[in-house]
Amino acid sequence: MKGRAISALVVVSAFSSHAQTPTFSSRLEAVRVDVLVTEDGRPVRGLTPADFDIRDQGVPQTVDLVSFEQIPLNVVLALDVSDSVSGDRLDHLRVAGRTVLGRLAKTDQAGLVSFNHVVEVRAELTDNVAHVQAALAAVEPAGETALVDGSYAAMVLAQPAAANARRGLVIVFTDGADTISWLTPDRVLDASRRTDAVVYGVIVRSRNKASFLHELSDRTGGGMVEIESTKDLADRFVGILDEFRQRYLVSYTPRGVSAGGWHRLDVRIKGRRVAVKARAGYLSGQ
Amino acid sequence: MSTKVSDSIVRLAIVAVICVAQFAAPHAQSTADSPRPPSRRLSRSEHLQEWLQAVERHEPGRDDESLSVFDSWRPDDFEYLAIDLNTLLSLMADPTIRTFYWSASGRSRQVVYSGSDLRLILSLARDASERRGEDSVGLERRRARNRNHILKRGAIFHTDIAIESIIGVRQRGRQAPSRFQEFMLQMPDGRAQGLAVDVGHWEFARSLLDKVVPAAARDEFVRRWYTTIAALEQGFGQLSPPHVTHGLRLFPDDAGFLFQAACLHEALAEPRVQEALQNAAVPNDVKFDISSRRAELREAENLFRKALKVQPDHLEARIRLGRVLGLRGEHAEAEGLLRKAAADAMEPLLQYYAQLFLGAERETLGDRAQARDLYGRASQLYPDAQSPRLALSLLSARDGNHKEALAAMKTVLALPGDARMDPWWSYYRAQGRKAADDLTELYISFLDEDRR
Repeated sequence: MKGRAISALVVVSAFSSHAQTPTFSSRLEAVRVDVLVTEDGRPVRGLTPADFDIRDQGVPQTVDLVSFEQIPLNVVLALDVSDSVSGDRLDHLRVAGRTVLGRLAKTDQAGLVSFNHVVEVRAELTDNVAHVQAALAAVEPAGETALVDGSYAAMVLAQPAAANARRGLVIVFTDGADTISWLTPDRVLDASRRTDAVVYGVIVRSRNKASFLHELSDRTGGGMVEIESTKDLADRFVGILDEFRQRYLVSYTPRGVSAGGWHRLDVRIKGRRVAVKARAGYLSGQ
Repeated sequence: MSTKVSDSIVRLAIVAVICVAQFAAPHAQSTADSPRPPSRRLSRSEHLQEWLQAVERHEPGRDDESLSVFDSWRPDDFEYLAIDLNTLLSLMADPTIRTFYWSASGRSRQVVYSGSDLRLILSLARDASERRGEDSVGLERRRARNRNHILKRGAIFHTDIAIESIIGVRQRGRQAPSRFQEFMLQMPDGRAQGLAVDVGHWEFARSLLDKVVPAAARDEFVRRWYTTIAALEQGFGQLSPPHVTHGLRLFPDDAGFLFQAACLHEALAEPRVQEALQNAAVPNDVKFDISSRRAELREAENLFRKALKVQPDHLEARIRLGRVLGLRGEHAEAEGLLRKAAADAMEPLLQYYAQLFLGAERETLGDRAQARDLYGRASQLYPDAQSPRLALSLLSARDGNHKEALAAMKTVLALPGDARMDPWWSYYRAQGRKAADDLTELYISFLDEDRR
């Protein structure tokens, strides 16, 4: 698995029924893709491997496994706690964090990354949600915004370990533009091509552009939520979690494509006019 | 002063402010056809007297009572002070003249005084001229010394008031005179927050030093003052194009000032500044003298190159020029400059910057192994710094090694934030790290010379 941690998980066990948690293990050649399928804004359920049309570099692939809802999550909250996130905004953020953490299943794990100019892993991945909630309660706003650094750290933290049959979800909240990161957006976006974690951005609409977060969520197959106020932030966070749970994890073993480099992915559902959201591709090899 | 200012540089580390001195069209100046007698307790000449006494009483670098002299002044008083001080200087040069002029924005106007005002100003000019009356030096030299004494002490006085405002000891926001006013765009956390207007003490200090004889551009005190204040303001996160623009006219070949001017343009090119400016709601007549990111980087490069031409061993200029060139896509030249700087740097802070920036250049040039080595060296210099750790982690992540990517960053990111220090956070203020000490030295040398 070394060197291929981002995109290389494959089914070793046979396909399990929906009632059971499928078991994944690692093998170099496999690729897994988180896919959201919606019709009129509502998730489409009940799809099987035969319904998916996945093209890797334009070459049709055979889907080995499709799972829905059963795989435990790694949920990492990456929260902007810079100077501008104070007062009601901070209260709303804490409530939103607590609420979404409270919605996690027992098998899920959560982590917390805060960022102002300091990027801090306040809670590593754990199934002890109370620990993460306590860490969340301790954050205090100050300083500038290292959005790029913080998003990167969260993405790495959420990435499932090689033999870990989990799905990584990062929820990044910010109310402003990056002001102090060392890492550059292009390098982090490049690294995102090797991650399985899906990034959702929640940003308070302002005059500042949030092009980095838009791009990151787009590349990882996540989404962006732009809000006018943080009043309903808890609903937004929960909405993201609910949407993420409605996604399929699709796995296939690439055939007929070169081993290394960037692989463009096209994911469709055969015979149906539905909306499909998945990452744009993956990077393979050194 | 030194300790207080140093502490405050740390405390105010994160707030960036852009300043612009406003040169509004002079109005209501004291002219023959539009005299506007101030309606207040003190007369114009008495205000001048009050100012002169405060300037003399003030101990440079101290927060003493004399700094409060303007608390009871109105905006007009400040404007008349500039005019009446000019009259005083004229009388010091030639006690016989009785016709006075004031020039502003290229226009010269006659200034007319009441009998009582003129008598007091004459008396003040006589006292000021006799301050060094017993010197054995010639009359012209004595006049110059006495004139410069007032101007430099005055500049020190206004410098100290401006510093007190920055560090929060003195409250801003008093009504500012139309001529000497300063607009400050606050940008905490990269967001443009409304304009603050204050009395332009920096601008007033500059206007005083312009009058130093025989020429401000040849005066050592003035040169050091410009460089030190440019560094000090940036150390506080104040980005002040007017100071640098004015200083470059006087000292276009001074390596120290060129370096500070280049640093300012490097900071002005930052996306957070550019974005805040684009989004700032400012009145049409308030202009911040700031160009596009590209133009600011080009100007920074130009000024760093000039500084290095004058002083080729200016290590910090080489490091920053290397970074600017990297940002401009000139990676090969950037790499060469940074490599030499990394080899020559002795100060840990400069070593850190050189290794970090060189690492980024090597990474851009595709040499990840050497980039890893350089980031590792930076990390050894400041083990708690997150930037090189994140850079190391990212290298592993880009290689697809998740385990190493996680390990590289976790050791530092798991530490409490307030226990960590990363010099990258203060890069745009680091050029001012010695300014407080330099200012103290400048004051001491001024006082030594003034006593002679």
